[in-house]
Amino acid sequence: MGELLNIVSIILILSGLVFFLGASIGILRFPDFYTRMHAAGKGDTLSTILIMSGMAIQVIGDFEGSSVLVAIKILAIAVLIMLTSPTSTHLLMKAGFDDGIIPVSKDKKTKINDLGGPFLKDSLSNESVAKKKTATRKRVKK
Amino acid sequence: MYRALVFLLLLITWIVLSGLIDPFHIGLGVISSALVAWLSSDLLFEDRSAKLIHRLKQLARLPGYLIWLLWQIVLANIHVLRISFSPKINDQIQPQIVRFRSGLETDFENYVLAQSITLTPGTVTLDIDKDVFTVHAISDHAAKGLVSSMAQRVKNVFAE
Repeated sequence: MGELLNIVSIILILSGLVFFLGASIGILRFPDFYTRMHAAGKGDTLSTILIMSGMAIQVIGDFEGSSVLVAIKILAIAVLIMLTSPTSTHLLMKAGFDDGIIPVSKDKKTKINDLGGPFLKDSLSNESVAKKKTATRKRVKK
Repeated sequence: MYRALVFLLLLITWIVLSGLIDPFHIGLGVISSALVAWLSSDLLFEDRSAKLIHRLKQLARLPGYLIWLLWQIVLANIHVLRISFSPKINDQIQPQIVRFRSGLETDFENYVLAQSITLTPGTVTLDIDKDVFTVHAISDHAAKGLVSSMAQRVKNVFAE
């Protein structure tokens, strides 16, 4: 039983490390701020869950009262990261977007796909993105 | 009623985090949970008009959604992993901004949806204006996943 739990937890931790590696390589290889944030901010959600559950299994071991409490605390860390990590990623991306950083796209134009719901013709047309871009350039020149 | 619920939640958190089950420490926990529940219980649970049985129903439906979300996170993580290891990275990604209406009513439902979108790698919520979501997606595949059933599932969890 103990042997089996050991193997399961090692597999969980190793696969978590693979996902972490993928996230780190993504940060180096992705082309712009937004895509890098994808790798940096969220490549770690699944890997954290995997590593933390691996550790929880490692700690539980012989199912004593106190070790179960420690395992619950470890899982609470995973839940906390699942709540805070998307929030900080969202805020960084929103700050970059509001500051007028233009996302790269394949045909070198920022396009906005409107999916579902009535057509939205307000703040985010392509012209307003272009305006944001010139405004940022002016600010940089100053 | 809701005050008692807040008190119970705080007390359970206290016992789990302290791990000491003897009269003195649990007594301290009861006192401090009661104090916090009395002073600031109105910070939790915005809509007090809902009946408790209704809340319990929502709570019972939540684990199903969480398991589905976890599976989506696994799938999307594998997708991003494949992109970042692929030799020709520029052929694999199609960064784009997607905007759509979620059709959800309360702030909390929209918060859950935004958090779920950001949790699944490949998509990040840039902005929410009432129920209009602006989302940055890393590839066509990730963007396609957005308009699938996620909003509908959130709606089902918080339905009457």
